[in-house]
Amino acid sequence: MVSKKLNNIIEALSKHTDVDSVRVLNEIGTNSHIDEVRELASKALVKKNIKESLEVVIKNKGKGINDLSARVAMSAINELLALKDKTTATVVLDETINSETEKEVQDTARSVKALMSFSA
Amino acid sequence: MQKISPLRAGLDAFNRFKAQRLQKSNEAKAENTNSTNPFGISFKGNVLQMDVFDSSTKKSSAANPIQEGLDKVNKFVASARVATMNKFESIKQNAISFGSKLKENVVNTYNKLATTEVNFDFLRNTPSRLQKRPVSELEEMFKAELGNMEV
Repeated sequence: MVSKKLNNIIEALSKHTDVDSVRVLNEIGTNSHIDEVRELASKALVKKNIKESLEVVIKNKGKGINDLSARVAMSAINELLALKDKTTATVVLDETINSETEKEVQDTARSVKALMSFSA
Repeated sequence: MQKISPLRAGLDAFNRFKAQRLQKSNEAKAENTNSTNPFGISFKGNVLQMDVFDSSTKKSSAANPIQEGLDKVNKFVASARVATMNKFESIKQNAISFGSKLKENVVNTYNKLATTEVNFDFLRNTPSRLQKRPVSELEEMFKAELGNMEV
């Protein structure tokens, strides 16, 4: 169970104006072996809604929407679908689909993009 | 064979009732004469009779009705005095136990306060306050919290 303090730190990083907060969430949050921490970090990165943070959760294998834990992946996808302004997310998803990354990552991005078009 | 009219039957029932009531009132009178302790003082669960207040150095003056009356008054006075003393004793005991309980509660509260640490971390670590800190500091806090979770 994640402590209230840790929850607050992750939330503060998600609202922080310094772009370096993306690095902290990526290096410490999404690399944690605790599912709950990865889930919170992924959600925080999506909430930031900037290109750098969205690339972490969309383009990387084993992180965000590509996480091995279905719960973490679904939370990240839900957070993406809940975004009010989906422009940046759509751009990153398109880049991922058209890039030469792994097929699995491309497929996930394509599925999320389809979901986004349905929910819009 | 006697013919019983409703009027006669009613009269008989009334007479029986009258006789019973008379008998009851006589019994009550007899009981009243025995109850010689109007203040209801009890000792080890037994109600004390007024006779216990008889003087041990009583002289035989049963023949004198005035002396007998005075003796009775003396008994009443002694009984009332003992009852009052009992009452005061119980009030004193209650006051002592109340005082000691109060003292115990105060001591407990003092001990609790002395060992309680007032911690305002929950106010300092709100997200709005944390986001004003530099990222490096938050990074350190993040690592420390993860370290605490793993322990």
